[in-house]
Amino acid sequence: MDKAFQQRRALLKALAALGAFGAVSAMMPAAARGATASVAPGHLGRVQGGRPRDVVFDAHIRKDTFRLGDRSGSAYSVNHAIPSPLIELWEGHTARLRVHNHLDQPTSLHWHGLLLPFQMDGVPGVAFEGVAPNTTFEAHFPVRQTGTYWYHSHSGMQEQKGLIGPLVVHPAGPDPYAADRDFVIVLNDWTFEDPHRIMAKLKVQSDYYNLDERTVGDFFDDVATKGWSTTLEERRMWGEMRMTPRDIADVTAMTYDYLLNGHAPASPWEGLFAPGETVRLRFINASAMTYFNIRIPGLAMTVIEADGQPVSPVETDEFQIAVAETFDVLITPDARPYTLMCESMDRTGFAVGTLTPRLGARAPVPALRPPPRRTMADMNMAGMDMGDMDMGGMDMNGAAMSGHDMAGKSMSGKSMSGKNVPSESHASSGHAMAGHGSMAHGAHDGRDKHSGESGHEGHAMAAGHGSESPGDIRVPATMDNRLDEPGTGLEGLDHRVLRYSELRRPVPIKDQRVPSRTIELHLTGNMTRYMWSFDGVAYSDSTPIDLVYGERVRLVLVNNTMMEHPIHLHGMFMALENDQGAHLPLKHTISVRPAARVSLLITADEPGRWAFHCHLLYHMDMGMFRVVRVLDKESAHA
Amino acid sequence: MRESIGRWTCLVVSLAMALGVGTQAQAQSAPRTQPLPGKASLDEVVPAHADPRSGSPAHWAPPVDDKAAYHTVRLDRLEYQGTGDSEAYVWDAEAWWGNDRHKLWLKTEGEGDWRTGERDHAEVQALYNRMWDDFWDLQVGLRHDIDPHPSRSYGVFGLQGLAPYGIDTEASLFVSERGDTSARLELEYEWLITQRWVLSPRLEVNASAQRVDELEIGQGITTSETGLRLGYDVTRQVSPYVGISWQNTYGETRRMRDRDEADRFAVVAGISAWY
Repeated sequence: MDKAFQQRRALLKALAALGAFGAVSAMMPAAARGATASVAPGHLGRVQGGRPRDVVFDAHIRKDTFRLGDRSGSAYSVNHAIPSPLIELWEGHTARLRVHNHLDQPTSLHWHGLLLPFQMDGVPGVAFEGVAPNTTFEAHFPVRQTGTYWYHSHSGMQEQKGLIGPLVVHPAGPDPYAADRDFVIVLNDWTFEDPHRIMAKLKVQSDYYNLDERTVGDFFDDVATKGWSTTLEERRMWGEMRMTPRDIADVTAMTYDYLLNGHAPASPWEGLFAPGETVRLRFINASAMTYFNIRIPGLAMTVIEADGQPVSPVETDEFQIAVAETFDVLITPDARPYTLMCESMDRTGFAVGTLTPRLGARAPVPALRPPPRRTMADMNMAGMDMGDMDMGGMDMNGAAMSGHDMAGKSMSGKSMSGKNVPSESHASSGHAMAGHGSMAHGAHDGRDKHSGESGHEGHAMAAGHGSESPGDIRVPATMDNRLDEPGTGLEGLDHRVLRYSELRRPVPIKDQRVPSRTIELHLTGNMTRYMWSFDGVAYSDSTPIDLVYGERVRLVLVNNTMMEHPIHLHGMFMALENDQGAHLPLKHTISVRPAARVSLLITADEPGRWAFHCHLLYHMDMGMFRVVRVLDKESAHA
Repeated sequence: MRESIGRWTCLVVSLAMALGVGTQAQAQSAPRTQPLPGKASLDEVVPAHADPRSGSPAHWAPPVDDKAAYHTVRLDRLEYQGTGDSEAYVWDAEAWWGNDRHKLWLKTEGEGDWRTGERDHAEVQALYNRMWDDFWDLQVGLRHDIDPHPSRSYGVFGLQGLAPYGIDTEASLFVSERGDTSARLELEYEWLITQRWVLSPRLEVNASAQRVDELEIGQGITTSETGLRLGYDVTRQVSPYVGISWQNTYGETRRMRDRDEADRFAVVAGISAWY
């Protein structure tokens, strides 16, 4: 592209920006704006780009009213916008992001996925003290990355109440995927309830929001299809664990409205394109608790970025996005409207948008598919003779449990701790995992998939409740990383579904050193009591995880619960060991599936105190949270 | 005024930049070729007085509030019981306040004559509740029976939790101020007919280690209540119900009481609710 053309394009984009929500509109005086109402139809969420520059952004945080149809409730806004306005930054330039607190309580904005000095990271109690009422905090840092990110409050439950916004970092040089149209697609789960009340309800009755529980009718349906003995055996197993295969999401459409760029399905978001254009969609899951399955019926998507970091293009028809993840896709639509179908993972609801060449045109919205079920694979119980139960394509790695003895009955209490790789600096590491009767475990070959050294002996933890602390009910026997499976509920579809195993960084990751040590952390919880933790230890009983500046470590996350957890590390990317050799993808948030054991590589090159937590808001608030410190050797915990 | 000038300046500058005339500003911030600043210094990581959990200055508020106390008030049953020749009212309620590990529990239950309003039995319990196991809590505290007269007090040791298959279980041992020992076991299960229609079997068994004449109870199993209640969840927190209930007496207790009090069958209707 010649320079004159580029400039003309920048000019056109800038003109469009006058009406759109973006860095520019955010600086307009308050009287000139009414939330996002001033955006021209079909342009909400457009990424403007333009000439690379330093950016000053003033975020005025206020209590505001959010309206959906004829319902309204109090919310938090940035510059009166809910979700918060798009911030665009440029690699190689500086960002000066000023957070003005007009609330009567402390607030904060965390720049999710950005590399910056830790004091600018925006986590109260870890990175800074928070932004007190009627004060301003300025995050000032050079921008040294590109991609799609987001920002949100890290104070209390403000994130659930609208303090979420998209953030795009443009490359210093030409964009390798200069698309004709560029939209952010911000997904979130809105509620008119007080989030503290949601938390209180979950503490009293953890299945409060689940209206898909097993009934008498389901029992007889199962008997009819599977027979009495399988049904009874399967009921006995879940019953003894006091769990349910119907536990997909803790909080559901019973209280949530799922929004796309702030729009509910009743009046869907519209994105305009001209026929023949290539469109870039930057999906950001800014939800508090909800995973989404995303597809555009009739259109293939080419995934080009995950968590802001480039991946070799992968064409797919559907993908699951965990809370706090981002995925960028390119599409080339024909001259007709398309539906962006974003179904909540538990399928109690959906967010939806329309991509269209002309305003007002609609494509059909597909019906919600039946809700998924937790399966034996989620406990790694594929050895069970469960008839036609869906095994979700588990690779059992030679370990098998002989069925009937699994659930908490014969607590032979075989301590497996000797087989664990010592996990540094954690009180309850080396937990005695209760073995149950007839469990056969071969050395699993999971480590062979990783690069080999300091291999951890495979161990199969038993189902049941033989753990040390009541906040830590070890359910699944974990062995496989499950990176080659589609997300929960997306098994066995007749179209392509993105898998973590397909993510590949186009260039080799810089640090190819062998990690010097392995830190193993278990994702633990107790659904009944609604307790969540790492290694059975909640934040307030924990100590920081210390990394020595410059070291390369392997972080092994083992999910001992029956649900996915999106684990987010601030300040540094994690290379996901997914068999891509030197081309491991970099992630800021990794969704660990039930019963999965995943391995990540971290180069501790960002000095600081960094939050590390489950990004499900109510799990984090219950203490599924740690501080990771990167410091010099002398200061590090022994 | 000053602020608004600043805003307008910002606006003008940003518009100028967006329109591509801000060449000077751009020149000032050309991409850096030197190793990027923008990292904290290692000296800044550990403050002088650090909180042991966050490593941050000790006076900062914590990032998450995982020790917060929660509370609930639950009316398990507020119910009318009708038998052939008598009518009664029954209540059974509880409340707790606390965090995962430590809670204060209050429980109350009782019954009386529907027509006269006269109470036959009324008790309150105040208990310290300690998380013990994945699904079980231990409780210790006091029980005071306002009725029947004369009132009496008990020490309470309890075990409360969720048995396999999700059976709500409450087992209590009572030692009265006179040294009498008794026990109570309550089991309840929720069987979902649909997401809103719930059938709840309930079993309560009482036992006594000795004969207590004033209370008309004998040694051994004394009384039981076996109930089956069908509720409809109007909301997740309010469920009216109807059901049936058998109340039986056993052994020595049965021999001590009037024949017409020995066994009762009642049709019940009531409401359960919580907040």
